[in-house]
Amino acid sequence: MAVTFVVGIIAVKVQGPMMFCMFGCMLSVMTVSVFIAYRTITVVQVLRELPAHVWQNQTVHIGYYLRNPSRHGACLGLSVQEIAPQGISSVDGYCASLPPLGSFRAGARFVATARGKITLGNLCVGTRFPFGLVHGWRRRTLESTLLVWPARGRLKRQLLHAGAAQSSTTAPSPMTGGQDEFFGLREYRSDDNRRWIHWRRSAGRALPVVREMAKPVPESLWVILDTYCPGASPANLELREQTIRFAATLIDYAFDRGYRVGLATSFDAGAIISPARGGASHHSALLDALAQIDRNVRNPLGATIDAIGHGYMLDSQVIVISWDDSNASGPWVHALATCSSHLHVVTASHLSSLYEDQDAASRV
Amino acid sequence: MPLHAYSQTELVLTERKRLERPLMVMIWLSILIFSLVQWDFFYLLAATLAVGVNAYAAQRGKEVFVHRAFVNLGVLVVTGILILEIIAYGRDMLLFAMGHYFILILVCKLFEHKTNRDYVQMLALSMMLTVVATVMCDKLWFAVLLLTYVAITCYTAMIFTIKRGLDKAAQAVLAGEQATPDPGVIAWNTIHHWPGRSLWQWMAAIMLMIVAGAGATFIAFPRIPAIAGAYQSSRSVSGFSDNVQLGEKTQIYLSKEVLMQVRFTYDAGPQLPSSAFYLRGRVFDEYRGNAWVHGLRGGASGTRPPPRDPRGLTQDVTLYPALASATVFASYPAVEISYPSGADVTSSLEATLRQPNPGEPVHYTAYSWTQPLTAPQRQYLDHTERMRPAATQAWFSGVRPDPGAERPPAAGRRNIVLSAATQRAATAQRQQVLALAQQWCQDLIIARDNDRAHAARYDQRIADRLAQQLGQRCTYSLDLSDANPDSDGVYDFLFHMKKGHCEYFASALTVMCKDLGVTARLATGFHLDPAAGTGQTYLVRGSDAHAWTEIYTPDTGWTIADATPAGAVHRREQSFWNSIETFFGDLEYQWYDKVVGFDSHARKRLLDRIPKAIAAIGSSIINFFAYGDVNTLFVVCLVVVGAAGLIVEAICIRRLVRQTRRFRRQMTDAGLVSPAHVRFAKLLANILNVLAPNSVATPREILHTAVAGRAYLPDNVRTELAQLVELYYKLRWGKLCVSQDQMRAAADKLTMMKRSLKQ
Repeated sequence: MAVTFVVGIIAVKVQGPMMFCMFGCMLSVMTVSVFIAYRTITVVQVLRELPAHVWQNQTVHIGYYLRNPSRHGACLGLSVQEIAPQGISSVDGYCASLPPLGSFRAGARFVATARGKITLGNLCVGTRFPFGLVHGWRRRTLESTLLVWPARGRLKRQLLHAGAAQSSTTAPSPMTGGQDEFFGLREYRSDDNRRWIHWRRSAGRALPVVREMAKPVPESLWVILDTYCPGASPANLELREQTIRFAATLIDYAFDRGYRVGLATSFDAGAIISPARGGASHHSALLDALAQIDRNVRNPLGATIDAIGHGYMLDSQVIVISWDDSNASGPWVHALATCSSHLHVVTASHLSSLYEDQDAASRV
Repeated sequence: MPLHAYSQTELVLTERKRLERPLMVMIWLSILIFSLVQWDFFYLLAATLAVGVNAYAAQRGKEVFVHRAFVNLGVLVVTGILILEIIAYGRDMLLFAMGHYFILILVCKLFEHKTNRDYVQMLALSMMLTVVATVMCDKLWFAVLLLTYVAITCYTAMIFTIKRGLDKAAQAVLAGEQATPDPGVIAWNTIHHWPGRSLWQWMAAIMLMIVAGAGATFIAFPRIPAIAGAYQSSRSVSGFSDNVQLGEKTQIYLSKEVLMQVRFTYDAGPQLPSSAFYLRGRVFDEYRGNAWVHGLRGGASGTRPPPRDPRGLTQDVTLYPALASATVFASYPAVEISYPSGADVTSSLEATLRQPNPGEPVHYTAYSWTQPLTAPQRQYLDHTERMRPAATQAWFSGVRPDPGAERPPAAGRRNIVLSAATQRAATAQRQQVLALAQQWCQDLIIARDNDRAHAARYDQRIADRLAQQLGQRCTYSLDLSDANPDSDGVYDFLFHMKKGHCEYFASALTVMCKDLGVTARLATGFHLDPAAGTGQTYLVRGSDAHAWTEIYTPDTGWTIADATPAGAVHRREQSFWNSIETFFGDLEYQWYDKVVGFDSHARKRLLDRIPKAIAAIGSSIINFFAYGDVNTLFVVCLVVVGAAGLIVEAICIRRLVRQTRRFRRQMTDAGLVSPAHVRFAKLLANILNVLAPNSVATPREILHTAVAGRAYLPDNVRTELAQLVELYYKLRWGKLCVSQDQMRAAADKLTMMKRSLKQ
C-alpha cells in the first residue's frame, strides 16, 4: 500500500503517462489480489477427516478434504488452519493447487497435550495467492469430537503375570504349568526354538517346519484406579494424572499381550465398573473412560472397590493404582487378595521404578 | 497417484529452479529497460554476466554464492558509489544514480546465499528499478517492455507465493517432534502436480485485469493540462503551428490526423497548377532569436473586388476541430474568401475566421489566382499589400534592404533581450551564414551587381542556387535531438546538424536570401501530395504541414521557393521496409497522440464522445432497419459483432474438440481391456492361487516367496512365469500395447503351465 501510494504521488507530481499506468497496475494488483483471494475462499469446500481417538502427546495426522466445485479457475495456495481449543498444538494444512472440479486431501498434523474430550469446531480456509499481498481467510464451522487418551509411557518392569496370550511365534509356551498342546505344523521362522523343528516332515521341503502349540486361555486383569482427590494440590493433581497415564499404559500393554482387561474407577458422579473382556472395542472403551476422568471429590477408592463384585475378580490379576501412598495398605487389600490370583498395589512412590512417563520426558 | 507425480512433488520442495528462472529473467529485463532508457550498457553487461551465472547454476540445481560478509561489504561500497554520484552530478542525475544503485545491489544479492527474504528483496529492488525507469521514459517500446515485465513479475510473484507456502509446510515442526517429516510425506500432503497450466491461466486473466485497471486509472486520474500534453516536452507531433521556432531538441512524429478537406475547382482545366498544392496559412518576415516573428495571416481579400481571372482556383475548405487554428488556408494569392457560417474576415490581410460554434467543422471558400500573375493582378496585390502595417510595408513593396543589416524591432513586438556575449556570438554566427551564402552565390552576386537592370532575374537565380545547395548539403530529418538551443538555429542547421525538417530548410533559405539582398519571407501552411487526392478532393493531414520560402521580384510578384528536398515530406516508396517503418511510425504517433498527449481536455473530449457514439450507433441501426441505409458506422459495428461471434465460436469449437478428444481417449482406455486381456489375467490369478492359496500378496511377492520355495518347479517354468508376471504389470499400468495375438499366446502359455502344475 505504501509503495502504491508513493507511486501515485510521483505520478501526480511528474504527470507522466507511464507513471499513471504503473500506478494503475499497482492498484489493479491489489484489487486482483482481493478478488482472487475472496473467490478462492468462497468457492472451496472443506471436510475434516479426524480420528476418533488419539494418544496424548502423540503426533496425529489429520486430513482436510478440499474440493473445488467451480468449473473454471483453479484454487491455488490454500491453507487450512485449525482454530483449536487450548491443549492442541497443530500444523496447518496446505494445498498448492486445487484444479477445477478437482479435490485434494491436504495433510496436517497435531498433538494434543492434554487428555480429555476435545471438540474441534472452527477452522480457517485462507490463501495468499496470487501475490502474497493479501491474506484472505474464511472461518468454517465443522464440528468434530476427539477423545485424547492419556499418554502412553513405558513399563520398566514386568507387572503382568507372564503367559497369557502369546502369538504363535513361540512354539513352547513359557507359562508355568503350561497347558500347551499340539496344534499343527507351520513353516519355521527365524525366532522359533530349533528344538521344536519337526525333522521328519521337514525332510522333503525347502524350509523346515515346526510344531505349533495351542494357544492358552487368556488371563484376566483388573485395573482399579483411584481418582479421588478432594482439595489436592497441583502437585498431587499431577501425580494423579501420572497414575492415569500409567493405568492407560498398563491397559494397552495388557490388551497387547492378550489379556482380558477390566477397569474400576470413579468419576465425581459415581463409580464405573467395566468387567474384564477382550477386543478392540473394549480396549477403546476403557481408554475412553480414562480419557474422560474428571476431578473426583466424592468417591474414594474404598467406594470404588466396594462397587466391584468380588466374583468378577476370581482367578484374575488385580492391580490397584493410587496416587496416594496411604492407600498402599488398608482393610480392602486383604479382601482383594483373597479373591484374586495376584494382587499388586501401585502408588505414586512406586511409579518411578515401574514406569517411565513419556509426558514428563517430552516436557524435558 | 502415479509415481512420477510423487517424485515431481519432491522436486518442488527441494529445488528453486522453478522460481529462479523467471526471477532471473525479471531481474535482467528490469536492468535492460533501465539501460535502454539511459542508453548506457555497462551495467547491463555486468548484470547479464551475474544473471547468466546464477541462471546456469540454477539450471544445474546448484547455487553460486559468497560469504554474507562480502555481500554486505559490496552493499557498503555500492552505497558509497551512490553518495559520490550524487555529490558529483547533483540532483539532475539523481534518478540515474538511484538506478545504478539498485542494479549494483541486485548484483550483490545475486551472489548471496538466497533465502525467501532475499528473493523478496530482489523482487522489490527490480520493481523499484523499473519505477525509476518509468519516471524517465514514456515511449512506446518502453510501454511494451513494461507490459512484458509486469507479466513476468506477476508470474514470478505467483510462483513465489506458492513456494513460500510449501516452504512453510516443509519447515513446520510440532513441539513434540524431533525434526520435520520426510520431504516426500510433506509433498504428498501438500502438492501432487506442479500447477503450471493453472498459473498460466491465472496470469492471463490477471494481466487482462491489470491492463484494464491501468487503463481505467490512466483515464480517470486527475491531470493538469499545463503539464500534460505532447507539445510541452522533448517530443512533438507534426502539424500546423502558429509560430516557427528553431533550435529545440525534439523528435517530430508524423501525425496522420485529418485536419481539413479541400475541394478544388480549377477553371482552366483538370490539371491543377503546382502552386495550388501549397496552402498558405501564415507568413513571417523577420527572424530573430531563433524564432520567426511578424506573422501575418495570408489569404486575405482586398478592399475592392478583385478582377476575375479565367485561370482562377476555387477552394472549398472544411476545417476540422482537430486543427486548433482559425487561420485561413488557401493557395497564394487568395483574393476572395467567403465564409457562409455568419462570421467574417476581420481585415484584408489578417484573415481570421470567427467560429460561432467552436468544436465543430468550419467551411469556407477561397478564390485564388494562379502563377504566373498578370500585370493587373500584381498591381492589385501591390495595392492591397501596401495597406499593411508600416513596419512590413517595405518588405512587401519589394524595397531591397542592405545585406546583413540588422533591423530594430518594431514597437509592440516581442523584444528578446540578449546578453552582450550572446549578442556577439549571434552576430558572428550570422556573419558566417552570410559568408556561406556569398560563397555559394558569388558569381551571381557579381553578375547582379554588374547588371542592375536585370537584378530581379538574378534574385530568382540566387534563390534557386541557395535552395539547390541546401538540398545537396543538408538532409531531411525529423530527429532534432542534436539541436543546440543556445546557438542560432540557422547557423546550427548549416554548420553542425546539417539535417532538419522543412522549417529549417525554409528558414535557412529565407535568411540567406535576405542576407544577400533578395526579398524573401517564410510561409507556413500545408503542402498537399498531388498523388494523395481523389479527383479534385484532398484530405489534409497533420503530416502535410510544411514551411517554404516566398521570393519577391517586381516582375513576378511573390513566388514559391521550396528548399526542402523533393519527396522528403511525402515519401511514397512502397517497399516492405517502408511499410513496416510507416506502420511503426503510425503506431508511435498514435501512442504519443492518444497516450502521452492525454490530458484533462482529451479526457473531456473522450467523455463527450461516448454518448455521441452511442447515439450514432443507435441511429445507424435504426436507419438500417427503417430505410436500409448502410453507413460506415454500421459496417464497423457489424465487423465488431462478427469478430466477437467468431471468438465465441472458436471457444465453443475448442471445447467441443477437447470433449471429443477426451471421449476418444476414454474409449481407447476402455478398449485396452480386451477379452484376451481378461482371460490372461484370470489364468494368471488361477496359477498364482495354486502356488499360494488364499494369499493376499501381490503377484511379484508370490513369485519371490511361494514360487522360490518350490524346488520341484523347473527353471524354464519359473522364468516363463516371471516373464508373464512382468507382462501383467506392464499391461496393468498401461506401459505396453500388446496385440490380441500376443495376448492369446501368453494365455495359451499360462494354460499349459497350469496343466503342468496340476500334474
